[in-house]
Amino acid sequence: MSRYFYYLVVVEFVGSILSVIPSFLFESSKKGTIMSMLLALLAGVAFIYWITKFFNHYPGRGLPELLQQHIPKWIAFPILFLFSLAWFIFGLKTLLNYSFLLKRFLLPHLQINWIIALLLLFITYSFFMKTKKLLYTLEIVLFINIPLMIYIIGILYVNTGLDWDYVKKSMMYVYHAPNLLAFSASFLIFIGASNLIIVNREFKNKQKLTTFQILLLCVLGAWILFTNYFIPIGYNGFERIQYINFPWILGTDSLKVALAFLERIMFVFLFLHISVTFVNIIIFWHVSLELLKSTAKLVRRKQKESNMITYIFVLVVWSISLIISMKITESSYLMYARSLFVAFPPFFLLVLIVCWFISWRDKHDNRSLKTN
Amino acid sequence: MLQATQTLEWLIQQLGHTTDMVNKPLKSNQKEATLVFIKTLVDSDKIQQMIIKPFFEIETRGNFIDYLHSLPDGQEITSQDQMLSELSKGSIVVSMNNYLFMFDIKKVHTNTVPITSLENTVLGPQSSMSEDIHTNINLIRNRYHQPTLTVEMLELGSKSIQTLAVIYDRELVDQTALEQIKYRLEQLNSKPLIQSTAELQRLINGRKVSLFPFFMITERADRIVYNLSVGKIVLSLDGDPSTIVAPAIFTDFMAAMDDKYHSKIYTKFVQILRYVGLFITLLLPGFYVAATSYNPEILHTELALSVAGSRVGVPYPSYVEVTFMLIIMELLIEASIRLPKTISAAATTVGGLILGTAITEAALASNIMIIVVSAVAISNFAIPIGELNSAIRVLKYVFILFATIAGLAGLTFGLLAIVMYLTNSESYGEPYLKINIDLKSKGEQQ
Repeated sequence: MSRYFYYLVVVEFVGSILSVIPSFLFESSKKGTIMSMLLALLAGVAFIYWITKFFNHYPGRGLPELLQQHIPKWIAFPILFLFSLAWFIFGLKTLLNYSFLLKRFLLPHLQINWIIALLLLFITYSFFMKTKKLLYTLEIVLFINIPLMIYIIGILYVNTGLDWDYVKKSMMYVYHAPNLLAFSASFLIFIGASNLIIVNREFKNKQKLTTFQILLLCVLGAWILFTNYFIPIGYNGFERIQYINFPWILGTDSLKVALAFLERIMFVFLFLHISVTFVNIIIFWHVSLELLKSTAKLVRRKQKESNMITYIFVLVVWSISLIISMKITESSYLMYARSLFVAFPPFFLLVLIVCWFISWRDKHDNRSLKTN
Repeated sequence: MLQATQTLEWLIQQLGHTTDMVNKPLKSNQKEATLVFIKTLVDSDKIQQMIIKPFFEIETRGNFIDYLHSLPDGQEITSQDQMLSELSKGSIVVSMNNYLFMFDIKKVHTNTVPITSLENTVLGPQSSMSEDIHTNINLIRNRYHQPTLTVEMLELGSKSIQTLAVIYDRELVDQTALEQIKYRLEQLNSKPLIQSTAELQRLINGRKVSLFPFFMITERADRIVYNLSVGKIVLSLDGDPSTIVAPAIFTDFMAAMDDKYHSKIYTKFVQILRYVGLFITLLLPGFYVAATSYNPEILHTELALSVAGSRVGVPYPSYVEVTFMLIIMELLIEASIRLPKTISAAATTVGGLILGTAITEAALASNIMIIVVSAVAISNFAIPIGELNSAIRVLKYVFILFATIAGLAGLTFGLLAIVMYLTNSESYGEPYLKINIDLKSKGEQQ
């Protein structure tokens, strides 16, 4: 696969550590989180495998083009619109969590809507970027951040503050029936590959996902899930960890490296967090915007190039984010996110079904062409 | 017969008002000829050697005309206007019977090749380009012996009529970039005066506002030749020792020519040093603001305490302190560029007094601030190419603004915004900032 594909997957892996996913995992830590994580690992890798296999059949084409070709307009329209909405919501949920965290740890004296406005100011620029340029940005941000990531996680693993007894204790809860929220939360780590529905437009060469690459993703995913769940437990203890809002940040804040330029690991971690989550949001919203553009193309007769949709999107993003930021609190955010998260796995099942349907139609069309 | 004399009369009439125009009739036993030229532009020794002496030595008219035909400096005559413009560039017109000849015998005072002054290197060639375009092309051709090297001459500026050479390797050049550059050059016809390559660069940039350089301006022949060999286009304007290289991307501006001459490990070390310098000069002032006023907890406790301690008595908030000190530093740099060499020593001494201990003793800035300002000033000059240098010089104030609004978070957003802006920019179809990894295995590259 193209290296940009891995960036999409990896940015989601790294971003997951910094999102609400760990909190949701701890919520059911005595009710089958480990089993759910194992299931989610299988489901996630299978999802990556299927979706990349599907898109590798159609190099250089995104989902909108394929839908347009194989499916009647009146079905394609709601599907694209729904997908656009879903990707918008992914971005929004990340943005909200992001700004809560910024307020808590870096900008305590700014109000949440100001923080969101500040963020949107920078994010808006990305709406006017092309997919390819966005991938370059992603590459550079990861290029800067992956060494930091390795540094932080390396230190977290070797530090004596990590109490493996807690980890062992938490492992004793392995024989429990899986929990839906924990499953959804851990499945969300693997959705990076689904950005292919737009990004595949840039992969113009024939791509191939080899067995080795699948294994690599599998191992990486398992390791990220393991780190995601067990490292905070090792630092924060097992019993009451579900009451901590930002378990990862508290975990990293228990570390001090006296010899480093920045003594407290937490701030290195926050820098990593700020940049990785930022690119995460801009990718989600870029996909959402591109899907919206394609939806508009389906309806309009004239194929005139204009930025109208982008301006509308900017307006929608600004108004919705600011309105929500004024109404929402951290606890209500967690409540909404819980119900949203449960809805995500079925949604990605729908994505797969749409893909399967397209490939079925494609084969069907080919066959009818041949018989004709 | 009529045409030649008429043309000559027209030329004389057009140039008649200048006192340095010479209209010299020559007469030997059977032959008659007229020379027209502008005395201040031509090489009079050459006229003597090339035309006047043979005129009296060669017996017959026919032989002399054959002799004139055989001279290598002869120019083709296409129109009266062309003759007039060539005359004003230093050609001589010889009229004999009904024949008109034109020779290029201009005298150039700017063809000395100076030592590099802007892009100095320790190893490698030391001479830069001259102010004469033919000397420059000669310098380039002497380093790049390829038959595919193409030189196209254009004329720029409706008043100054400067010669511009577009130089490229025909086989390697990126055709779309070449077409775009030529198109942009054609659009320039209305400009009366174009005197420097930097001005030309700004005019064909195609952007109304641009901070980052999208062309490289260089005075080094070895850099020009290296760029030609990788398929770039070189524009050289008559009368300016610096040349334009296009397309140019971000990493080009971070490379010095020494990088090719030193050992590999040393080169890598210096390159890393340059990037460290880039980040220091860009981020350190903003980081100071963020770390003193927003997030002092990110520093080591001892450092945070000593920063706070050295700021005791400073009445202003940190962003005022930083901006104030940086502006004094910028003024100092500006003054030392503009002032004559004899006075600039005085300026730096006085400036050094301000930026030295006096300002901390007056409690207008902290001691650490002095270190920050000096580090910023020094590391700014670690960036090898001047244009990027000045872009970064401006950009650090934007980062101070971000840090003032949102501390460390603002600084990070600013960095991300710059990355987005740079990756989104293009220089003639080439992405401006991109990590190039060449993966060997098939299917990996897109």
